[in-house]
Amino acid sequence: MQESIGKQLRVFSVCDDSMRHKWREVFTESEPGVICIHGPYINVSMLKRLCGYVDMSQASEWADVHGDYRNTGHHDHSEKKASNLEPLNAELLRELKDDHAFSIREGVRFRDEGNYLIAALEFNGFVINTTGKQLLSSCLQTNSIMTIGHFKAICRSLRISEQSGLDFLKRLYVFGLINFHDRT
Amino acid sequence: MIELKAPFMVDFEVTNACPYRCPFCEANLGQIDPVPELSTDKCFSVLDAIAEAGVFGVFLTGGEPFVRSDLPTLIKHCFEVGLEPTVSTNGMYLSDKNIEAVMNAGLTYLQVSIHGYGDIHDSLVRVRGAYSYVLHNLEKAIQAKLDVEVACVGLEKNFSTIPALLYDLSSVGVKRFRILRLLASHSAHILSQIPSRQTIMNYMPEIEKVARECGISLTASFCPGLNPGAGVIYQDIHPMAITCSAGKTECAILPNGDVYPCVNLKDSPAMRVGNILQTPLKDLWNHPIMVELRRLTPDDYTGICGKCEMKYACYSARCVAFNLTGSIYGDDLSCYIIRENPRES
Repeated sequence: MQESIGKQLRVFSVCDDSMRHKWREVFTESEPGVICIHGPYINVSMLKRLCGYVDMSQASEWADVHGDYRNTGHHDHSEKKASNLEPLNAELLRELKDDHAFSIREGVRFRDEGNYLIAALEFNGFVINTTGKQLLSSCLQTNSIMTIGHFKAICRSLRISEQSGLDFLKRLYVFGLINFHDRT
Repeated sequence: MIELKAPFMVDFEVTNACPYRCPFCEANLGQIDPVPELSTDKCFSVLDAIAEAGVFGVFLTGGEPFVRSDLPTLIKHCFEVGLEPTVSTNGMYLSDKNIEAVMNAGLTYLQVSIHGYGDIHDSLVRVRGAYSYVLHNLEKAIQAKLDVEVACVGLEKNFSTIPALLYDLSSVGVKRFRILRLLASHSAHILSQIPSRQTIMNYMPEIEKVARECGISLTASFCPGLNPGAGVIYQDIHPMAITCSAGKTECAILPNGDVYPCVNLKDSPAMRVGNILQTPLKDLWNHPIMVELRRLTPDDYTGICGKCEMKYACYSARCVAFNLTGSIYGDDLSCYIIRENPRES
C-alpha cells in the first residue's frame, strides 16, 4: 500500500512545478493556444500520442485506459455527458497537406471574453488565447471551410509561425472543435 | 489567471422532492429546509436569465426532476434559449410516456443513479423494489434510444456489489457507468461511508474486468489521494477542469432561484449570493464570494492541504473544507491522505 502512495507521489513530484505554474499562467501569447477548462471529455490517449507526453498511464489507470472519451476526474456529482466525438484520425494528422481542409465542428459554440474566447462543445469547455482568437476569427471571416494552405497563409499574414498554427489546429482537432475533410 | 465573465454551466435544482432517502444526500440529514419550487413560468425566467449571461449548459437536477410534470417543457425551453440541458434522475419515473416526452423535447442523454446491486441499492435509497423497477425503466429508455449513463456513488457498503451491478446493467443495454466520489460535505458523520483505500484496491480490478467483459465504458472519479486523473498530467488541461468548479466555471441555483457557488454549499446561508429572479446572473457571478472562490488556488490552502505536495493537482473539495472546517481554505477531510494521517490532522 505504501508503495502505491509513493508511486503516486513521484508522479506528482514530476508535475508539481508545472502544475503550480499552470494555475497562474495560461499561455505564451506569441503563439495560438487552447486549453481545456471544463469537462474534460477528451481522448486522452490521442492527446498523449499527438502531443508527445510521457506515458503516465499508470498514474491515471482508472481515468483513461478503458475508452477514448471520458471525464478524467472531476470530483463532483457527475453532471457531464460524454461528447459524441468520432474517433480521431491520427494518420490524417500526420499526413496533413495543404489541400486538406478543416471547419468548425457542428455544435461548437463560442463566447467572447474580451482577451480570450471560450469554446464549448456539449459540456467540454475551452479557453482560446488572444492569438488563437485572432487566428480563428480571421479564418472564420474568410470561409466556413478552409484549406491548410489558406490557413498557413493567414498564419503568415498574422506573423504566426506555420508550425505553431498547425499545432494549434491539432489541439482543436483533439478537443473535437474542428473537423478535417478529405483533400479538396 | 483565467477568470470567466460568466459561468460555463449551471446546476439548476428544479425541485427538492424525491422519493429516495439516500443517507448521503443533504436533503435527508435534516440540515436544510426544502425551499419552495418555482412555477413553470418562473423557471422559464431562470433559464432565460442563465442564457442571457452566456452560459452554455444547464444541468437539471433535484431532488428528482421528473417529479415535476413540466420537466419536458423546461427541457424544450432550454433548447429554445440556446442552453444545452441534461438531466440527472433516479430512474423511478421513466415511464414510456415520460421517456417519449423528454425525447420529444430534444433530450438525448440521461444520467441515472443506481447505488449498488439489488437489495443494497434498495436499502440505501430506502425504497423496496426500486432496483428492479429502475432496471426495467432503464431498458425502456435504452430501447427508446436515449443515451444513458448510470452513476453510482462509491460507498464502503456498495463497492463490492458493483461487479454484479455491471452485469445487470449490461443485460439491459447500458454502455456507460460511472463511480462517483462521495462528497461528504454535509456532515462529518458521512466520512465513514467513504470506501476505504483497501476496499477500492480490492474491488477495482474486478470492476474493471467486468466492465471490459460487458463492453461498458467505465469512469471512476476518485480522490487524488488514491488516483490522480489524467487531467493532472496533461498540459492542455487546465487544473480548473479537474478541481472544484464552484465560482470558477459553475454555480448552482436552488428550486426557489437562490444562487450559490455550488450545491454542496447551500447548507450555509452565508454562501448565498442572491436570487437570479432579482439580480442578473452576471452580477451574482461577481459577488465577492464567487470572486474569492474564483481566485482561490492551491497556494491559498491552509492546514495539511496547504502543505500537501499533491495540492496543485488535487480535485480539492472546497465544499467539504468549508462545511466541515468552516473555511474554504481548510482541509478537505474526505481526502485519503488526511484520513489516513489522523495524528497530523
